[in-house]
Amino acid sequence: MIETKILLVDDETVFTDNMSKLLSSRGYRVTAVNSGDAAICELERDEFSVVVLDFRMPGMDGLGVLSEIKRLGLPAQIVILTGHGSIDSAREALELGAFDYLTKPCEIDELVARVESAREARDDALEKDAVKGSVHSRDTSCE
Amino acid sequence: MILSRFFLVAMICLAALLLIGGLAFNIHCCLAAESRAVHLVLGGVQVLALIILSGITLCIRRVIAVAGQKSHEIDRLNRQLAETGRLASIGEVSAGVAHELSSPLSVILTEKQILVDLEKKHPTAMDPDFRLRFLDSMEQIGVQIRRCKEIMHNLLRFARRTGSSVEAVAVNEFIKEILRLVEREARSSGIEIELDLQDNLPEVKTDVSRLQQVIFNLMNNAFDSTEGIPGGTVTISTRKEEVDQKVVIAFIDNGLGIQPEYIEKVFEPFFTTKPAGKGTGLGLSICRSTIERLGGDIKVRSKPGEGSEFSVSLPLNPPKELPDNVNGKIEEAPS
Repeated sequence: MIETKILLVDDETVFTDNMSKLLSSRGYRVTAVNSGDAAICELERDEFSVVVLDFRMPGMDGLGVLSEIKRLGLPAQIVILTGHGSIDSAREALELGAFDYLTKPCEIDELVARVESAREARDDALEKDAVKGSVHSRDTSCE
Repeated sequence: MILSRFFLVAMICLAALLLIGGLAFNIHCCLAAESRAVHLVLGGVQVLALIILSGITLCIRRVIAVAGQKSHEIDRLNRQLAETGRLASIGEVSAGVAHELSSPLSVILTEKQILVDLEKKHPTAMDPDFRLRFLDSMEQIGVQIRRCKEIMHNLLRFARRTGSSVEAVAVNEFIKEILRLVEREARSSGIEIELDLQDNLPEVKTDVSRLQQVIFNLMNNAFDSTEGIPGGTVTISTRKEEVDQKVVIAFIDNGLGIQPEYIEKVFEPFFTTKPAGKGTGLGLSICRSTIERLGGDIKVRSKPGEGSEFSVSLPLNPPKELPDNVNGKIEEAPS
């Protein structure tokens, strides 16, 4: 089984430390960062299946990171996990392309379930892209 | 406005001049023993001046009366604005508190989960009795955190509703939601809360923020009336009036009740029987003006020593003058 790589972005250090431990003990490879700018650096350096992203952070906020991920065309799926939840922010995040939206405090089992759904969605999208690519290359070779 | 004032002043001056001039000339003519015809003309001028002055006096009285009414209306609106502003501030503070609490609660939840995971990993590391106690405590921490989350969601809902909008409200659920915010404090004061809510109550299309304000005020009013009374009970009931298609919400308490001489005054601004610092005397007055604006009415029945009943009846649809930006049902916070 391929290890799922998660990027955890939250400005609360104790939270990222604890959540990293919990997710790691459930078989995920977790990288934790405490700012939006650090998240972008990590995303440019490594490939992640799922990004668990806080909304309100000093510097680049969650929406900024989300927009940047979409602008860079990265395949990672984004699960928003925020303490500043509102209908408007949820709508905005989902419109910008977030996969899911959770409010804090959130049970680990619930987060894992959403992360799994996000990972599956990302794998499906990659598979479709691969099929499209192979069909396209077969068409090109027939010509 | 300036022109009308100028006209009024000019008329007063003219009338005064005619009166004084007429009188002076009359005296002069009398002294000079002028003809009778001249006296008559001058007398007529004086009468005319008196009529004009009387007319002007009436006009001024009317203007003062209208200004008084306007001033009363402005006072009422100012009071309402102050109360709405106060609620909006409470809303903002509540939302801020709810948001700020989410981070420490998340940390507590993860700490709890780490301990639970450790116990699962090393199930025999603990003394069996301690292990049972430990697991019990962990379970309780989880339950209380979920409860905190629910309170936070309620606070956020409350905060969102400080803006004005017309929505379809499921009254029974709405009452339960507001009650959850205040019931703990009431119960800790020894007050029993009973709900007698009619099933299948139709939704009421109304200004949800204003209705929330009224229910909140009437609930707190009933709790205040019952506080310290042995066996104090507040019953909140709902029912549909089939005849005039209205929903009635009643707040019944077995508190001290209201003296008959005060019954007519309870909805007047600044009237209160609560101890100093406990009430502004504006709550019930605002409730009445708000409910009337929503097309409903509010009534009170009371017996001293037995308790009071405040009942609000609301039409199923709002009056035409209420803005209709209906968003459907009350939105639920994402979870």
